[in-house]
Amino acid sequence: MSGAICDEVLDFTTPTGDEVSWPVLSDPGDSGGPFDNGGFRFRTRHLAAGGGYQVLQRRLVGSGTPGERDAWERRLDGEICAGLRLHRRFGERDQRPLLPRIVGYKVDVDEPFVLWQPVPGEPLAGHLGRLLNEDIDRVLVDVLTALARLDAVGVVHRAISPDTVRWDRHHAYLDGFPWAALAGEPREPLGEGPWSPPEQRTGEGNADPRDDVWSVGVLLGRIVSGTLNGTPRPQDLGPRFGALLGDMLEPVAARRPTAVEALARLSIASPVGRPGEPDDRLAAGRRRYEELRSGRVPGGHGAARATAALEEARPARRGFFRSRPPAQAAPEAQYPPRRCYLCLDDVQWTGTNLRRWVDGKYRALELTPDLSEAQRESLLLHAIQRCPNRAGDGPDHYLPVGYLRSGRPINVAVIGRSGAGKTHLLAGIVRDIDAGGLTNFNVMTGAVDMAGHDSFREQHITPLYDQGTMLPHTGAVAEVEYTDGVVVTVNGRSRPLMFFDVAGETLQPRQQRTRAAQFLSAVDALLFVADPEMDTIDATFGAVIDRLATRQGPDGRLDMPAAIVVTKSDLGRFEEPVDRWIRARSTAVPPLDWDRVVEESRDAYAYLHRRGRTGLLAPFARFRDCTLHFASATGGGADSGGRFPRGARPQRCLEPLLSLLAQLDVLPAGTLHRGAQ
Amino acid sequence: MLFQWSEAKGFMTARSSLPRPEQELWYDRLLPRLSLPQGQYDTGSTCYLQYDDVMALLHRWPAKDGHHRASTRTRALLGPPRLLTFADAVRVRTDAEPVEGTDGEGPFPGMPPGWRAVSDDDATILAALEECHDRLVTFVAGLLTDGAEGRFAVVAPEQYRRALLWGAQRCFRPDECPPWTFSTAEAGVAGTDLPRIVFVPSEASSRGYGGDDLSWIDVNRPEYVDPLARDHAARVVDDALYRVAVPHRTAHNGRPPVPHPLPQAVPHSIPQPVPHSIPQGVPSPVPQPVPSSGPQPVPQQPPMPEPVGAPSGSPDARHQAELRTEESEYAVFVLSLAIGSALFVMLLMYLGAAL
Repeated sequence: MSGAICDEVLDFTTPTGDEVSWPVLSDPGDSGGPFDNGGFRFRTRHLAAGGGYQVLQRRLVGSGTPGERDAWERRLDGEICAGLRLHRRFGERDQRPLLPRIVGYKVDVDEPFVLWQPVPGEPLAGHLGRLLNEDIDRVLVDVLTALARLDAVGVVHRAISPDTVRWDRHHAYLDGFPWAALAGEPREPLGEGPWSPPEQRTGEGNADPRDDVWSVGVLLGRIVSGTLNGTPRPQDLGPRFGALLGDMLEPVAARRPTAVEALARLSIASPVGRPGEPDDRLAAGRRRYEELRSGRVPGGHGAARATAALEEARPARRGFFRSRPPAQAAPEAQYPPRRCYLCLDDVQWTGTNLRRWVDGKYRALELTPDLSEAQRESLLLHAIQRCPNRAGDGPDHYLPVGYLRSGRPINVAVIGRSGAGKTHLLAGIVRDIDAGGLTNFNVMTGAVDMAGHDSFREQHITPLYDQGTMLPHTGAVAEVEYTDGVVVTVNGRSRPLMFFDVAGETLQPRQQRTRAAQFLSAVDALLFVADPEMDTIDATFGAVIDRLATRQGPDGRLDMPAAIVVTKSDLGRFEEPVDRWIRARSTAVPPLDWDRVVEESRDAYAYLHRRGRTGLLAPFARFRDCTLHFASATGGGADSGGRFPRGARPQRCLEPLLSLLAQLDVLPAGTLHRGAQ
Repeated sequence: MLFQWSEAKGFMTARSSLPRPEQELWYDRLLPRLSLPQGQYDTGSTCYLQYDDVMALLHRWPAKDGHHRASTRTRALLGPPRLLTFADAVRVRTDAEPVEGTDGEGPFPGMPPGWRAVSDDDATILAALEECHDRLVTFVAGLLTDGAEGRFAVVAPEQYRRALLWGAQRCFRPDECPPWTFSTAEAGVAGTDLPRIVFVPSEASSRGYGGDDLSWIDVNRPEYVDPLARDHAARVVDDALYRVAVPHRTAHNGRPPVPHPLPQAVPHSIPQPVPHSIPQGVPSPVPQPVPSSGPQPVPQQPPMPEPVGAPSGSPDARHQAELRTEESEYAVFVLSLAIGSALFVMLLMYLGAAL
């Protein structure tokens, strides 16, 4: 069989988004058959398409844990992002490609791959010491030109060396992007000296295009001196190349020249045209965001609420004439009345009319005097109390005791049309909370109602994340209940955080008069779920905003924290600027950098603006404080059976919630960094 | 009406024989019941609902949307109670989807052929009922015990739910006004608009709504039912299903009786005139097609217009009206007798005093 030619059909997506099938010829000896040594790796092979067209396929093969796979897929995504960014910026206009051109890619399959048009030549390592002066000039100019182009599209190669630069006696080329990162991403430790800059070796700070300039400086020393030992010094390279090397080997990226600046030292004009935004439509969106943002008064609801909550928790101050402490308040007076989210009545914790989850059902609970404090509290963990429902406009209903015996509740409604991804997003948020996402911020969490939380876990988190099954559509109901609730405890003070996820049909304008939409009058924060793939108007945003008109301030803006979440961002993960944020997975590590939140909001606004989804941006204009986020609850697409065979994983689902908590002043001091923005 | 998920509008009306304003009205009315309950997307379910003088029969069937996400495709049949009866509704299977007919979209004089094609006959249901006879007794005991005005949350295996309803229908008269309504599958017990009998999972997941206003019946746990009520229910079931005796009339409105205390107020103690049309005597394991007690065959033609003032509906309904008339006459007779006796006694006393 060895050496025989076999046929294969490759299904892939082209850089312009077309789905195509190519019959290719490949060597079975290089077909990338089973790889059962454990772990993952990339398998590279050459394929011959019709007309003698050669492509290079880099395919992810192997097996391992979902976490390992995620890391390897992220590397492959980086390659694809680099290729697509270059294609979009330079495309076919580039008559002299010094970088490989992407032919296509296929992701969300067992063995994802990327196809490249291979670059000519041989590794430069075989020519060191044998290059003429004009060859050295050519190599330097070509490599720096390639880096300037990468810089222009915000890609960092991270692996420049004589092995990754090819030379065909006329031009030098960069050979692929196996370790590419996007500028601004946190650096991951990579490489060794002298080729990798110090910050990259240790993984400090964020990736910078000038990281590659360091490597070019080292490469310059090698091709001039012809040796591979030692770090080059300017005085060893002669006046011309010494001047070029100059500050290329500064330990800090910020002090190195850019590739364009280095080319200028060689009297070469910038090969990338005018600097600035590569995409005018994105730039217009960003400008619009800044215009809207600069014209508004900072929100006061967060501080006001925090003050109210503080007053609620603060004991009465002793006055001069009141030297004795005030009389002990009755137990129920410890907890102010809470608004019922079902009937909007005020409910006081009384310790009566209780029920408890026993044997698959709620049954009456009597708190007898002979119970110890520990027994009593243990019983109340699962208990609910009947709402007096004085208006009597609905069936008898109950509220979790945890809702009535904690601080001021935070009711968060998830808003969006049917199919926008509300249910999956909420599952991702709760999963991240369960995984300790808020604990990192010194926000301790527990269930408001243990039975309810268990039920949510069984019906949402386990099917989606453990069994890889897409969740069914949420059906409309006549009476809305909270979907899940957690108690968040900060500095010893607890507040119930209740999530409401209802069917999109319930939120449509015509349904706003029903009882099912009544809970909106009790919400404290809103998560607007924007599906950028849907090209029809989402009427739920406007309908909910209209309903909340009573909360607007003097300038007409609504005084309530809000966040717009661009869901299903995995589908746009190769698109700018989604790629930058969704690749970062999660930035939910303290301190929460508010400048980054604003930056992401600006990008998300520009993204929706460029796609013409201005209707989805309505909350940003109408709410005094509103942030925007990219998120994916699944991390990839489902197969034809509605399953995620490689597992679903939430990406950046916690960030919108953190933004709301920051706006509500819930995050502890020191975990939020507010910069100049 | 056909409701299904669409990429553009979410869950929407896909097809209907109603004019558009009515479509919107019925969409709004039915919306809370259109989707399969959460966690129960493996098979279909039916809902029989009442809105004023219109009955709605929903057939909810699991479907997938364009992204392979589980959703529901629901067909709704609307009609007056005399055409869309409880018995018809119970017969519709939940493990098959009504097929689209070639005979248009209605209106139909009775159950559309596509629905009839997925309806069980009595023998099939009775066979299923024999497997769950004890559960039916528990079910009927619960219905008898928990009040005439009650609404019921019932825990029962999925495969027996329709059979239990069918059996209960034999024991009571749910087609009379107001008709019984039911849902063979609900996730919880929230809402004031719940059908009268809802089948829920053993762990109904309504956190905020405890279902206090519902009577709970777990047919898997007969020990939760009063033994006296069970004995009585067993006799009622036995009579209704196997002796083909006079149906156990309850209250005049067709609701279950309130036996306070049992068994004094049992239906047996109420003297009932025997309708001429009901055959008596030979017990049979399979009920005969008795017009007054069993499910009615689907009329193939539109019903003949009724004389003004005459009770409308099926022969069974007309028979019920006759029975009610007889009872009224009987009551007037007894009352007159009592008044006459009292007057006679008073006259005697007066005469005695005068003498």
